[in-house]
Amino acid sequence: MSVALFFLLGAIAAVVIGYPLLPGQRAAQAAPVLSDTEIEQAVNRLRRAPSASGSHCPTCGAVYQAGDRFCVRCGSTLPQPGAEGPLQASAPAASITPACPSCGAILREGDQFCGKCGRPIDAGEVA
Amino acid sequence: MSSAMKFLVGGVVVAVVIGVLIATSFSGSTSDYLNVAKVKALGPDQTRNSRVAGEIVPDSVEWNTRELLLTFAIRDETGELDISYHGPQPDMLVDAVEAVVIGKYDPAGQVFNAEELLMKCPSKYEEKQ
Amino acid sequence: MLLADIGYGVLLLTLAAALWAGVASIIGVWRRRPELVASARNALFVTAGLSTLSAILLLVLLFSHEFEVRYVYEHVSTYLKPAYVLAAFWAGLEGSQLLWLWMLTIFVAVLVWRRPTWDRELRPYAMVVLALTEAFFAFLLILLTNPFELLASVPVEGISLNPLLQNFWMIVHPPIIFAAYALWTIPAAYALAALMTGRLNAVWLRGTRRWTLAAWASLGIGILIGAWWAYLELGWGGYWGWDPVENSSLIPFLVGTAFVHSAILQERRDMFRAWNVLLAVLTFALTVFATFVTRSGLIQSVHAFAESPIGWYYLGYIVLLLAVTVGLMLARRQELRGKGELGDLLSREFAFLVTNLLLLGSAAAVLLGTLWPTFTESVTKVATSLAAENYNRFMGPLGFLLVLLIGICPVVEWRKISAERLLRNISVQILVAVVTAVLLLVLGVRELWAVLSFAATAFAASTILLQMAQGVAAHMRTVPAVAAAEVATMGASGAAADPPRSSRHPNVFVATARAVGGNRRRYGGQLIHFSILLIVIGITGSQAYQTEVQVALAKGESAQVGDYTLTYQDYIYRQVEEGGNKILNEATLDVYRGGRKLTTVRPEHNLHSNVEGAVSEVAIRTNLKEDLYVVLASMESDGLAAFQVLVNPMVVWLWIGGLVMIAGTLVATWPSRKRGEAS
Repeated sequence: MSVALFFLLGAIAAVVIGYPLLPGQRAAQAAPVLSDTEIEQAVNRLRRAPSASGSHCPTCGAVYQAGDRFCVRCGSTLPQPGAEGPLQASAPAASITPACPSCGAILREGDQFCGKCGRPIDAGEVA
Repeated sequence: MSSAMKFLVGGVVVAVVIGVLIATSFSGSTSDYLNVAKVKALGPDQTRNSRVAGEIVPDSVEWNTRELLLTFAIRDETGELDISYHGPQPDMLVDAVEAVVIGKYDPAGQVFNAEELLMKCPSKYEEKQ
Repeated sequence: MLLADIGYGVLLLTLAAALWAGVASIIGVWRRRPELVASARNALFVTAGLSTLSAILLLVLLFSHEFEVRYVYEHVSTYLKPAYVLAAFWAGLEGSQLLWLWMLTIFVAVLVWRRPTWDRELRPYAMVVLALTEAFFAFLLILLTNPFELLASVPVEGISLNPLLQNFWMIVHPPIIFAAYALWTIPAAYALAALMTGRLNAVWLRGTRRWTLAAWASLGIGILIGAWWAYLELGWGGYWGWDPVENSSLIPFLVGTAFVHSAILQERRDMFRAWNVLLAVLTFALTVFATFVTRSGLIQSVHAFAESPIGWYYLGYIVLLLAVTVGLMLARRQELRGKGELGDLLSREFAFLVTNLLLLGSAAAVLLGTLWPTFTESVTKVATSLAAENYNRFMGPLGFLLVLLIGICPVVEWRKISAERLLRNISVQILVAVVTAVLLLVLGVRELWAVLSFAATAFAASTILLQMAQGVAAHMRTVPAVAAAEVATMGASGAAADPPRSSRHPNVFVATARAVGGNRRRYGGQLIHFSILLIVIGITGSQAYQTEVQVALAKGESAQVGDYTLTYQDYIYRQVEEGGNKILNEATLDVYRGGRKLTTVRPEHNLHSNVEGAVSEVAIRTNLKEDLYVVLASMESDGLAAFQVLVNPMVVWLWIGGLVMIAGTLVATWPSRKRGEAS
């Protein structure tokens, strides 16, 4: 009796394990088109480029139109053309100089607020 | 010195300091594992504690409640040793169970004054007294 | 015995499925045959299902008192309470090994269920390691520690569970410890996967971070519960004995803590790549080492486990694992070079390095101390054992420095900080520490080390509180998005209404929620650090000021212990309890302080039918300041009783610290829905 149950359990296990090896299933496991590295690079490119629909408020991320001076969602003053954009915010953490987490502007040692966007800076946030 | 070099040297210095601290902690207060015969051979000027393990001799356990004094004897393959211990009677103290005593031997009184008494129990997952 | 035979058969199937999972993963990734990897994934679901079935079968056998099964006979009886029948599952070697295997298979199944993008390349390699580990555990169960082994004849009654184990702690402590051991397998598997694929950047660290934190917290809580158990049940007034069994959970905890910290260093600055892979594997190897220590008979412990050759199999596994790791590290030494440059001495990088050296140094010292009798015996023919004092002599200073670092690290900047700025950042904390020290000296505290310890703790605590306050304050200045939108629209429509109050001054609770929610990882970590400080306070207080009195009292007599007066009011002598297996000896004492009655305590000193010798139940009165700990050492027929009474200061802070540790871990690992949050 126990031998019979043993084989039954073994059969169930074999079915579950062998299922992906069936010819129909094998086709479904097609290798991904893009490799992991390629996906990572594409994501990084998207992060760095300004989006097609406009720039993002450095404080709350809402999209704003060129020419706006304040963000319509959070009220913060927006960077003007020619000022540093949100680039540095997404730079890899190996940046040499401390950057404002909000707007990416370069911070001086001891700054309590970002000179460009007025965001309060915690000592622990400066990366 | 380049700052990378300073970093490495600093790390090594810290590691050495930690090593020295640990090394100096390993002396004094330690106790030596001995058997009964070796304990009885000790002189009166013992600097270190000794640690002896043995089976509790049947019917040797005596407990004086008023003084919280426990006396019993343990035995191993090299002989028997009288133990004296001030403190509460530990759990699991019963004949033929193994006990570990830590303390110093008094050659004059021929008794081992135990500061610590550990019951080593035969079944699994036992804890210490 | 049908169920036992099926149980054993299920273990055989588990081994087969685990082996297939390992083999199929590696062939599948080498030969680019994803269907084999998918089959391996299914095989890991199968091992989880099968080991669950095994566990259920053992439970059924235990609860139905099938004494023909040797393990059931050894650990339960017909009169054992059901809650303790459950505990009996892991009371012995065979059951605890099955518990470990079961937990590992469940966690692995949860892991492989989801298929996140970051994991695509590493997954098959991690699966190999996990599957082969499962196979190894199953192999040991089949060959050496079969829980389903049968006896030649069927006994009518079982030996039952040792009364020392019949308590709440036996139900919770081993499962948490084994869950922790099982969880630590996962970062190790991914470290090896990173080595095998050469993908040694921080992707594997970030991806396994939640598993690592869960492993770390489980082990920490498990250790604290073990200490709590020792304190409550064993009647010697202490919670830690530096026993080899205790040490062998502490050592992986310290190494795991070092790993958690150096992982941050690699994520932020791409340094310490080699440390991280090595520490991840080492932490896991040390959890397996614990079993080797306790089972091989190599080390004498009062946790007297039966010797079993299983210890040596585990040692072989560890040696193989470490050899493979080191070999892979040599092969991948190019990829192990991170891009971060070592910076200044006054930098957060160096502070992290010192942290790791302290943690690893203490782990090495505890390991050396644990193995010291074996080591000294082979060298000097006399085995020497360390006393608690030896351990305290190095753990004290190392712990002190670690507490200081908890206070300094958050205010040291990456790359470089000037000495002046650093001093400015810690000036308030230094002041707090000095004030604390002065206060303690004024209050009569004379032990220098205790004053230093409390001052250091105050220093670190004030850093954490200041950081918290700064974060909350920043969020009280920021205008929240929704309310400001209302402001903008109202302004646009020309209405002259005042903006709602909440838009100008978010109250402190909202600000705290926003601060924490915006950076759960950081605030969770700070909360965990704070829990460590609470534990240090508990340890310092209880080590510095324990008062102990041993006294014999006849009924009606009183004794003075510290501020307390205990009056022996009544007793019960040799009364047989219902159910027939416990003979109760109980003393009733009233506790007074300053003339006012505080409470009544009832310590016990009982006899059990299945255990020789007496078992005492300690009576404890706890408050935040101290514990009054009363042990009934013995009782005579006329009621003359010997008591050991201890006053243990601040012990409860250890357990409070444990609760805060759980809270901190939950905060740190809580999933976040906001995009752009630091994760």
